[in-house]
Amino acid sequence: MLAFLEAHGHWGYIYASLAVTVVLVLADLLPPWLRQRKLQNDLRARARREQHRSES
Amino acid sequence: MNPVWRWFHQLGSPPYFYRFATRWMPWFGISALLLTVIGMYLGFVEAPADYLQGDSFRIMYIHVPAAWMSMFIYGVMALNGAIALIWRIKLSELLFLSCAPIGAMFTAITLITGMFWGKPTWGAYWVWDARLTSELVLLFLYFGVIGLASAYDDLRQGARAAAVLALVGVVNVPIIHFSVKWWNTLHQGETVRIMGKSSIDSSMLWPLLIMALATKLYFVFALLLRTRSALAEQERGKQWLREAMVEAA
Repeated sequence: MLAFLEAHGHWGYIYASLAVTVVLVLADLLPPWLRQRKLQNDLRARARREQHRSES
Repeated sequence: MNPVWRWFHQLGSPPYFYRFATRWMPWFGISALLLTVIGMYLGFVEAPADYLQGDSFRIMYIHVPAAWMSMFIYGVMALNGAIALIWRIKLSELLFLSCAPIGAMFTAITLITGMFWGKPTWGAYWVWDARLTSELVLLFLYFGVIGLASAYDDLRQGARAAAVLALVGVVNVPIIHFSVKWWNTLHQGETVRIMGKSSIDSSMLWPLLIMALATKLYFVFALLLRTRSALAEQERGKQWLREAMVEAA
């Protein structure tokens, strides 16, 4: 991988920096976002179940 | 009571914070994204190549704002840690815990992009220079805070133990900042100054300042996202949370 970077000159290092940044930002944002979504879905499903139970 | 103080007091209330985060998060996220696009266009397309370093200097538009954020977030984290230790405010504990992974992410970006910039400039990916070594210590401090906090079963107890470590580690922040002055380092000295003239041309400076603002906004966005998610998990059985989630839907 390092040989690939060195073969592509300055822009190789720039693209590698951008790629690493994108990966790290996604790794930072995705877990809390997915946790929040899961929790929201769980709470909504529970609310629907309770509503269904009270209607029947 | 002063309205600003009243707002700060209200922000300490979990329901108020949850609603505040839900309302403001998209604005911070969208502004961060827009400024990143503008900053990157100006920095990677419009700014001229450096007369000494060529195009490799453009890595600065990621590396420098990330380095500034790595230290700034540590300060915010330590401040929240101190508040959590002294006043035992639940929300400060969550803000403290949420700062650590974001700060670690910015520190990792700083170190990795620094390596990619170091190779074409110095001829080496890594040197045990004072600036690089103290920044690596900062990454270990972030890892230490994350690890120590998660070693406890009780989240609040873990946050307070990790807050002590974070406060001890504050000493490293001025070391990072002044390392280029205190020691003879390979890392370049200060080029952007708040007081006095910066030794960088304005065509290169403006994109950097825009990127710096974008990373600040990103930090607020990520902090609100993480803290809101942690708060929702902690308060999951509460009626106010259900109401807030229904409101947001």
